[in-house]
Amino acid sequence: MTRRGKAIGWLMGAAAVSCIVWAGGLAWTMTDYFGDSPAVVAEKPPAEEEQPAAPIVADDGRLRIAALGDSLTRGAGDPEGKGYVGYMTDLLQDKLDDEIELTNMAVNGQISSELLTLLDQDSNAASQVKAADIIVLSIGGNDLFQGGQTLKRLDEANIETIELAYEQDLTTILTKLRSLNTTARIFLIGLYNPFMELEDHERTSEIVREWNFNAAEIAAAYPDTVMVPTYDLFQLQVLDYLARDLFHPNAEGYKLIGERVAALITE
Amino acid sequence: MINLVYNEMVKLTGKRRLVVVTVIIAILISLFTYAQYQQAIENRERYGDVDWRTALEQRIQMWESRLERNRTAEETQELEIRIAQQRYYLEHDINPSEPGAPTFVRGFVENGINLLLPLMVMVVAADIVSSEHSGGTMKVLLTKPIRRSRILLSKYVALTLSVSAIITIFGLLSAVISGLVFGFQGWNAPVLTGFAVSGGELDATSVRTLPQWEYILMELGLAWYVSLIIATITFMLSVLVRSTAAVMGIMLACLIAGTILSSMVASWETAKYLFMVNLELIDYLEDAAPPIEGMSLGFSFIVLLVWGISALAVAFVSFTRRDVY
Repeated sequence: MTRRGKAIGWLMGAAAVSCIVWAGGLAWTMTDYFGDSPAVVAEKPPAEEEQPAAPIVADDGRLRIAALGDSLTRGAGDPEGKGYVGYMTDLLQDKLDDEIELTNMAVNGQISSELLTLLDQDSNAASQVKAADIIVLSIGGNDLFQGGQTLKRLDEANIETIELAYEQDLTTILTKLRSLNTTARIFLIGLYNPFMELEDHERTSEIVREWNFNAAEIAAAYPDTVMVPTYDLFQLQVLDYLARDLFHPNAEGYKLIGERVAALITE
Repeated sequence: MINLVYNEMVKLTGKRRLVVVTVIIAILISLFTYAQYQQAIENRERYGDVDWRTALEQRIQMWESRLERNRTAEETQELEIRIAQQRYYLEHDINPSEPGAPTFVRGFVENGINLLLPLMVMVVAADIVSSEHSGGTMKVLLTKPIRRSRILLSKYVALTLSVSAIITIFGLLSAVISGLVFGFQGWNAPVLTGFAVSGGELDATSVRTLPQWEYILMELGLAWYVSLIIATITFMLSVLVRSTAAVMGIMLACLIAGTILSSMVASWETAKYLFMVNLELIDYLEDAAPPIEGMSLGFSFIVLLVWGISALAVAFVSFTRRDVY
């Protein structure tokens, strides 16, 4: 009886200890699950440090395309959401034997300075650029049109300020891209004039033509860098190729741009 | 008070309930260990010629290429963590398809929390008060110069101790038995946690890894909580209903209804206030979606707490006020 009594005493002690342990486990779970957001943040950096380490493989028979820029590259206005990059990839898939790996890092509404920040600060974007065989880039449309705001101020001085800032940014972007990746072919998509049917179309067209001319001049200073014109594609029937917002291309418009870029990419 | 609790423990162990529970758990664990072992053999036969390291490397590569064409930041982060987890397996030479004891414990607690553990707890809790009626000892007990509430409290404390002991036995036995077969490696293997479900979509922004031992401790803490609440509800029934068989029947019906309900209540929203659909607390640590929209760990915790406290209150009020004849 005393032996049993002792055993029960031990059992009670052990049970009491485990009671405390499990209650502790429960408390830990709760604090871990609810509070503790600093701990979560604290654990994030190691995960990000992995990014540069993520190996970017060299030549393995794949065609890597990095797409950068604004809504045009993102595909805004295309009901299928493919954008010219999507149509271009489709065409290339038929044309080339290589497996195509596309990374689309475009952001709707992006302007040139934002793209610069992206390239400077996003290590993932930088490593994608490093790994790419082809870089397609559309930037400038939002700098110039500012969501339509520029249409109200078409005077020479205003346009010139915008354009000068853009040219500086574009130069920095291309230099940056070239320093990250010396071999990739870069395709800079030129601007079209979405306001071809509006009253000031002569003035806006002139601005866009000049804009494209300057961009082409800048691009020419870099090896393997091509400025792809789109102005002519939209020149005659702009309304047929624009989405409902009368700014972005529709699926047909994107197909035209995609075909044009795809035609420039050969093995 | 300690003497009262001690007295209760003497009665409880005298009924050999804890022994029965231990034996049942041991047999079940042996069965599952054997099943896992067979699975491991089959895996080895099927993938025998493929080294698991190669398979892991392939998986890592596949995820990495998916990373490259990824668009959302959340998905990217989740993939990165998963890749880091697989890398850990590679570096520490752990074959993820042939896990050690910790992985077994983790899986076993996860699966046991909503039915097996509550059942085991119920075996102890069901007759803790009602047997005094059926055995005719209730009157003897109540004629002692001790307040009724203290008697009931000592019973409840004894029950709490037993529940804790059962969880400990459960954890230890599953670790030891499976460890003998699979080995004891992998206590520090990373486990993914931190998923959240918002608006019907899995939100992986705060996903991170925990060492496995930490995760198991958390799981057992949750299992302990669930078992304690089930024990409390059973305790109340044991006070209210004099027949032990009826207590068992009611609890069994509730628990089984809970497992059925969890799989089909998605459209009946108020069902989330029932205790039996809130038992699978561990699922919240994983990436499983809750059975009903709007349920979370905090929600389930509080629902269970409310049930537990009300059950305890009902038990005490009923026990102290009722006429016994």
